Amino acid sequence: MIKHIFTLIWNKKKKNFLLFLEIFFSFMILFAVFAFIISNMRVYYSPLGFDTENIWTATLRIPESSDSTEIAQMKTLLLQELNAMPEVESASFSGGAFPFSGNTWSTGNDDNGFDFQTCIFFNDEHYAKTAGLNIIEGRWFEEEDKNSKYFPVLITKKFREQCFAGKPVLDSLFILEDEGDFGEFVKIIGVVGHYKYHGEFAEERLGTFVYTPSTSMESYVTHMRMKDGVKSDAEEKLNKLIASVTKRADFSIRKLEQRRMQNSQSTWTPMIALMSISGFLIINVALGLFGVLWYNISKRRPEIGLRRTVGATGSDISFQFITEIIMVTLIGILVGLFFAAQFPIMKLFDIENINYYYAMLSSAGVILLLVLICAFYPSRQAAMVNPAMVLHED
Amino acid sequence: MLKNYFTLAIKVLGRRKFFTFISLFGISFTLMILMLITAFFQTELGGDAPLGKKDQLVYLDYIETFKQYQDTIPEVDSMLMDGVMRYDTTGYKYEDSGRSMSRGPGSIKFWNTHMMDIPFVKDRTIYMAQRSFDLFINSNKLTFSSTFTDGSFFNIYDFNFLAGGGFGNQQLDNQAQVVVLSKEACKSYFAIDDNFDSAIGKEITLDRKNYTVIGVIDRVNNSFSFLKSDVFIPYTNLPAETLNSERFNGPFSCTFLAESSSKVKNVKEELIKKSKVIPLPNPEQHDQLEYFPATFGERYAWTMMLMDKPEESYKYAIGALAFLLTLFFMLPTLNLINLNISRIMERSSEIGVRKAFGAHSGNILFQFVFENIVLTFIGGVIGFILAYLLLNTINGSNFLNGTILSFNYKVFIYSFLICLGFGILSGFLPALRMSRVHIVNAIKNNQL
Repeated sequence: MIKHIFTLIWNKKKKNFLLFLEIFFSFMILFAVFAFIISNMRVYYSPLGFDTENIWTATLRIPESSDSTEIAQMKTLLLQELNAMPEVESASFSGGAFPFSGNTWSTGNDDNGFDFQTCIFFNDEHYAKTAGLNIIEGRWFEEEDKNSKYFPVLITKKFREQCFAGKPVLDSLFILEDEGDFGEFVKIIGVVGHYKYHGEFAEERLGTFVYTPSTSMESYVTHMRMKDGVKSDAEEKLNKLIASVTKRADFSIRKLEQRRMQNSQSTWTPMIALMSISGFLIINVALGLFGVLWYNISKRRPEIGLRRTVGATGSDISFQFITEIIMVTLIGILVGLFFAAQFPIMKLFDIENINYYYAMLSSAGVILLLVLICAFYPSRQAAMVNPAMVLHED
Repeated sequence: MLKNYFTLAIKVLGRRKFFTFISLFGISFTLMILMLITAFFQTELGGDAPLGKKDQLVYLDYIETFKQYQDTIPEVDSMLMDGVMRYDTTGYKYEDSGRSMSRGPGSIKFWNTHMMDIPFVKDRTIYMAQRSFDLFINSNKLTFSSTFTDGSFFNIYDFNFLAGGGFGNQQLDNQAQVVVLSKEACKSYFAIDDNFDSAIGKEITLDRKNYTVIGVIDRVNNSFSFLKSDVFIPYTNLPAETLNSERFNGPFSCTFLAESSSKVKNVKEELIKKSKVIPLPNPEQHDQLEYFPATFGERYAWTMMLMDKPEESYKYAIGALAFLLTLFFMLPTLNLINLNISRIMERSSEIGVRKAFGAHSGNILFQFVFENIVLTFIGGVIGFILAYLLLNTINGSNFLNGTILSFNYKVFIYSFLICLGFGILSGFLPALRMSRVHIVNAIKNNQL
């Protein structure tokens, strides 16, 4: 039976070749689009690890040449004034690498017996509360940490799992940066759940929070958690307050939620564009397939008539046509799979292999489904052919 | 004759409405998307104001100072002597193990002491677009993005001034408190809708300083943030600590204007030569300087591809784009070819008769390709209308984050060429097959 179908396909190889090509290219395009979307969406659905709603930020400019005591006083005052505002729930300072800022500070070495590369965040003692971080082990920084012998740090869960799996980490020491600014060893005082600070679509990297007191010159980004229901008109008040304390007005208050949306838009835009283009391509291919199948089948009416006369039932006929087209499709998909398999094998892009497998499955599924739908109606038509009529026609 | 073919083509289209619909659907959507892509590239890279001189520009966005560390790896020779393994160091290998580096835009000091007299360069501008200001007007918040720059900026970038003009280097040296506003900023700050001349001479307060408006520029459609700022200010108005910084790293990027577009290559070479001879201020920390000058196109590709070098990014970007477009083009073409080939039989008797009366294969081929081009152009017109509607939707929804797509005559010409190419490509193979049909078979096969 199958062999017979193959003969039929082979006899019409020219026509089927074009069909095969179309299936093959559809598969490849769908595979690429699915791989892109699936890998992005899997990252998107992993937790962010901090709050964006009601968090406002302002990046202050602190001249390098300024006097550190003066700055410390200014920042202490600013923090007091901010906390005194009825609209502000809590405030804190951080370094330049904060959520959606696009800034990265990273370091790594292999002096601890394992190789790692981690992003570093400089945060003060109020940050965990202000940003709503989830601390799963140990504690966040406290003011007393200033006098600690070693630099206190918190690491992210991902860091812990990758480098300290199965070992207790609290109060353990490790080398964060060889000959760096953090002394010889840093001490882990806690573990933070997630911190996907590069953006919703950016794969979380290893992260280390380093204690930077709120009076330090290095922490110049103000984070403010506003109370629920605070409207934008509080911005003017806040702006005046910061300007009067810092004696400068070259800053802009930005909402973290807005930044999140802007940041994600740069991924949503190509994703939506790709999805609509491939969606259109699929409809286009489906209509084309339908037209071609319908036309071909109506051209084979005499053959169908003959088969019906010698005893084939209607469902035999539709089965034959559906199997024929499914065979061509399967060949197209198989060849496509061969090329698609090169992506995970060669590691062409920096995404996890599992995404490719999902993409293969879903694109093969979509194409098979599409072909089945397109073949169904024409082959039903074929099955309903009245043998007497067709044989008479010829 | 063409008129005949045309009438015939229209008649055939009317005959099988369903197939016509399928063909037109595919054609119009394909062409619509291609037209949108063309509009996008025209907006971004087409050289509309203020990028009229884009072919002469060389960009230096950031510089990198670094020190290279090397690992010393002893090479050990092992041999078995008297049943004991013996090791012997035979030499040392040096391997780059890491670099301590700092990468970023440059300081005024760097640009003004080391990057002034580059051969083949006609003009040069430095600019910084990082700061934004919050302004409150009747408790409405306006956030103005800013570009701090010099007078050459307005020579190199040919902005469309709606009123007034830019500042010159004279005003820069005098620390003049003048500002050039964008159309939108002017509208929102002064509540002026069309008479932009009335804004000239008015004052605007930014960072506690009063600036006089000397020019208003038209909207910039592309996505380059330093050109899309709301306010343009002479950089001498920056705080002293930024102006006088002795370090190489600072907030400024630089654009060079080459003498002509053919000299761009020379400018890049001269810049790279220069990087080898500039003395570094703090050689204990970093002892080498590196940067990658990029042409306009290379810079665009570089920011998208994020590779090490701009030239490499450019090559990959072009390759990737060509690949994707071919792939995208391939499907609808194949689809159309498939459909057309299926419909051959319908016309075989007609071909048979024409051939019997002396038509050459060439005539038949031409006729069918022509018919397909007619079909494509009908699809093209629909596609153009759809593209226009979609374009307005995209612009209205801020889908591209501030980039405003627009159609101009160039997009129209490109679209025309795309239609023609698509028509020929998808019509040729079926027409070829059709023209080769044997007369006898063709006539016998079907009743007229």
